[in-house]
Amino acid sequence: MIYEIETIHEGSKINIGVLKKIRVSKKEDCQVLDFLKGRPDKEYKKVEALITMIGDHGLIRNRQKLLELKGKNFEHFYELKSKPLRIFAIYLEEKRQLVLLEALLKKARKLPVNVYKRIYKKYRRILNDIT
Amino acid sequence: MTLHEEFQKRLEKDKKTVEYQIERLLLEINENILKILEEKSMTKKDFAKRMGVSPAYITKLLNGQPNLTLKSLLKIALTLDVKLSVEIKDYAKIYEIEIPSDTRYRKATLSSKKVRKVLEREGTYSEGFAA
Repeated sequence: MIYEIETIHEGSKINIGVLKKIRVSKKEDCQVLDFLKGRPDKEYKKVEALITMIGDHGLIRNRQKLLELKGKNFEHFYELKSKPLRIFAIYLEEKRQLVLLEALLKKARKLPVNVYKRIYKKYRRILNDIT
Repeated sequence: MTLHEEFQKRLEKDKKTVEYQIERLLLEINENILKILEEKSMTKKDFAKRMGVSPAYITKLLNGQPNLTLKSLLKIALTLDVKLSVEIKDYAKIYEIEIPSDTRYRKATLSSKKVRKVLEREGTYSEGFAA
């Protein structure tokens, strides 16, 4: 399986990309966009607004919408919060691009730390391989 | 169709909807508030105290509380000692409502009558403007 980053939105400050999987003899797919398309219209539009806002303003100050997950295990790891959804992302400083990695529906009040660790570990490795 | 084309196509359509516009506007307002707080070295707790509201209200506000009224916006602007301006753009004309500096926020209301009065005093009222 091959992964690639595709830019989905060019902002005046930073670009927003998604990670897509390219399978042999199958069409490419993207977890984040496929997941969002399956959500109600209202939720999708709220995410669109957050994406364009980040594109135009860069990494916004509002931690209730874009939270940098800090810790010794994480580097440039972000969580986009748009009720009831969470989208994890890694910021590629040299490319000025925020790559959306995985979207999920937040069920619990607080996500277990293991979820963050699992996602970061998985995608950091993929991004290191392709960038 | 590439993921970029697919995303942009839906975005163009959604940009014209109320849901997208409200979310984007709330994100812009909140980013502005946070920027001003940063410039004035004011904490969210100080801000809440000055505004006479609970810190929980500020949290709700930054979380994108949707029913933000003009009165609340005016209260925020006066607490931060900044000008609130409302622009209604129809490409050719821009209407700007300036709140007189002597307005005390406790007494301030933005009823259509008052807006009309302000505009008439400024000589910028036109029948086409509906408050």
